[in-house]
Formats: sequence, structure tokens, C-alpha cells
Amino acid sequence: MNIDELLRDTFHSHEHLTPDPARVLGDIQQQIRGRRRHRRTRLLSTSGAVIAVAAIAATVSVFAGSTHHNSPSSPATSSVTAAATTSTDPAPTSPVTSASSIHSMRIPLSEYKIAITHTGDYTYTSPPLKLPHPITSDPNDIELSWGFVGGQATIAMTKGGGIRIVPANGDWSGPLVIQAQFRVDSFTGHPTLQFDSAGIGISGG
Amino acid sequence: MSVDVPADEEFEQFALRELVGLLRYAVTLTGDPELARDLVQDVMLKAYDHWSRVSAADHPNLYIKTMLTRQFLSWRRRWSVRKVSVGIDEHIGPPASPDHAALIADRSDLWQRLAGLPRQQRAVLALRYYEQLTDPEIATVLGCSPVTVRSYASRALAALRLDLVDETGRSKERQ
Repeated sequence: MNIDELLRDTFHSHEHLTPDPARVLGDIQQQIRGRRRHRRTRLLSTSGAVIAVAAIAATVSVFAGSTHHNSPSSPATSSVTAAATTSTDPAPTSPVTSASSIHSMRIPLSEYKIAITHTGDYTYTSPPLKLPHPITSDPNDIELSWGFVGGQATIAMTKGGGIRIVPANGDWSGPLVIQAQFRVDSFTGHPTLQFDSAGIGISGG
Repeated sequence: MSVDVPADEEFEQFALRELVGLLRYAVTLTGDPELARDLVQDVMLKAYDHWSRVSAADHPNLYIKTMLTRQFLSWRRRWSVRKVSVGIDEHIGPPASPDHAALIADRSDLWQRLAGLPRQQRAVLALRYYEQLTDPEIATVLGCSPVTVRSYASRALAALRLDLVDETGRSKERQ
């Protein structure tokens, strides 16, 4: 018997040492089930935390909204002013989430950060927006799916992950009131909205 | 990374279909059933975690065998603390003739010698003589060049004192 045959024969003659595949498969399935359970538990605790944060955010914004309504000045104007003065600040974030808990939001300035990482389509409808300054688009912006009622503007995702709202009229220089409704095709992950220091008034729940 | 339910089913079907072959190959690699089982389990769980990538491969089976081989080669710690069991093949039964007895003795002796080889060399022999892969295919699995594969094979055969003249012929034939 030559070397090839002897080696082949030796390997094949030891095939009986092969462990029981059914048992091995059972062990693998058991470990996979354990991983799934672990993953589900982790997901549930994460979801619970997100819902709690969303509930707190909704409560706070409803409370803030009623305060604004009682104020003598126009709420929209106040927001615009706040936005204009804070737009260069670093951007602290406030996680909010699930589309069902947010049916509208007020956007006081042209640019804010948004990161929706939950798979799905979301539609946000804002109350009238007042945009204070001319805003130009950037070639690197990625246009989002959008739709406006009562105004003309585009919403774009900036390279840095922010959102830019650009009025269609280049000569526009004064406050513009538009009713915005836009859709975002989001990405896989956790549902999170991040806003810049200008803040976004969120109402609804 | 998780896989969804249809992918889970696909994975399980794959496991049902290929597990025996993977376990047999793992035995030839490790020379030990327990090590083979641990090795296959580890690799299959990794495959499950990356199932989308594995299933997208042209030959998922070969992809897993590559994972298996590389895992075996990098399995230093566990390999060093586990004893490789080798011994007379009791399932073969009593020798029917002096020739048969000699053959069994040869196999048993060779199996023990294989267990003593460096892992790369043993992997090359297992891939070449058990999996019937060509040297370039073995090189792909091991992530090295065909020249290195031939070098490992040559050294392995020399160590087994089986460096017969046909090795030269085999190298030429496999190119």
C-alpha cells in the first residue's frame, strides 16, 4: 500500500471516532437558545429604559408647551430666538423615541441633529415652522424623503449627521412659516432622536 | 449579531446536513473526539453569529471547514491542556490474516504518529488525504501559499518516515 492509500485508509478507518452528530447538534441548539434568551432579556431591558425616557420627555415637553401657551410672547418666535442664539453651542442630546410617541414637533432652527436608528419609516408632522435666516444647501447633503404643506423647502441629511432645512426660494430672507411633514427611512439599531441645543419642542405622546 | 427566524431555519438545515462531515474532518484534524466536538461547536456557533456572511459564500461548507481549520490552528491553550487520545482501533475487530493485522498495526501506528505532528502539518495531510483538496485549495483554507503547503506536507511525510519517492510526483501532479 502506498503512502496516499495508507494515509487515506488511516483517516477513514478512524471515522468511527466521530462524535454523535445528533448530540452535538442538540448542544449547539441549546447554546443558540441560551443566546436568544439572553438577547431577548437584554432587548426588553433596553426597550424598557427607552420607553421610560420617552415618557419623561413627553411629560416634560407637554408641561413646557402649556407654559409657552400661557406666555405673552409668541411661542414660535421665542423658539426661533432661542435657536438663533444657541446654534453654535455644542450639541447636547436628548434621546427620544418611537414614532408613535411623537406626532409632532416644532423645529426652531435650520439645522439640528437627528439619528433614527430603528428600522422603518417615520412621519413627523410639525406645527408651522418659522425659519429665521437664509440657509444654503451643501453639495454633501443627502436629500431626505420629504413633503411640505404650506411652504417650499427641502430637508437634507448633512454629512455630519444633522438635518438641514433649506427653503426653496433663494431670495427668502425673512421668517417663513411652513407646515412640515417629512419621512425618514431610518437605519437598524435603537430608536433615538438627538437634538441640538436649540431644542425641539415635542408635543404629543 | 443576530439572525432572523428564516436564517435560523436555514442554519439548522445546514447543520443537519453537514455536521457529520464536519465532525469527521474535525476528528482527522484533532485526533480526538472530544476536541473535535468542542471545535465544531465553537465554529458552528461562530457561523451562526455570522450566518449571513457564511451562507452568502459560494461554498458554505468549505467556508466552515476553513473556519474549523483556522480555529484548530489557533486553539493553542485548550490544545495544550487536552490530551490527544490515540490507540488501537477496537472497532475493526480481530485480524483476519497476517496482512490484515499488519495493516491495522500500520494504521494505528500512523494515527499515533499523525497525532504527534505539528498542527499545520497534520491539517495539510487531513485536507489533502481526507478532504481530497488540491494544494492550491489547501493554501486557501490555511491562508498560505501552495509552496508552503507542499513544504508542510513534505515535512509531515518525512516525520512520519513516509517520505516516499512518490511525493515528488505528487507535487508535480498537483501543480
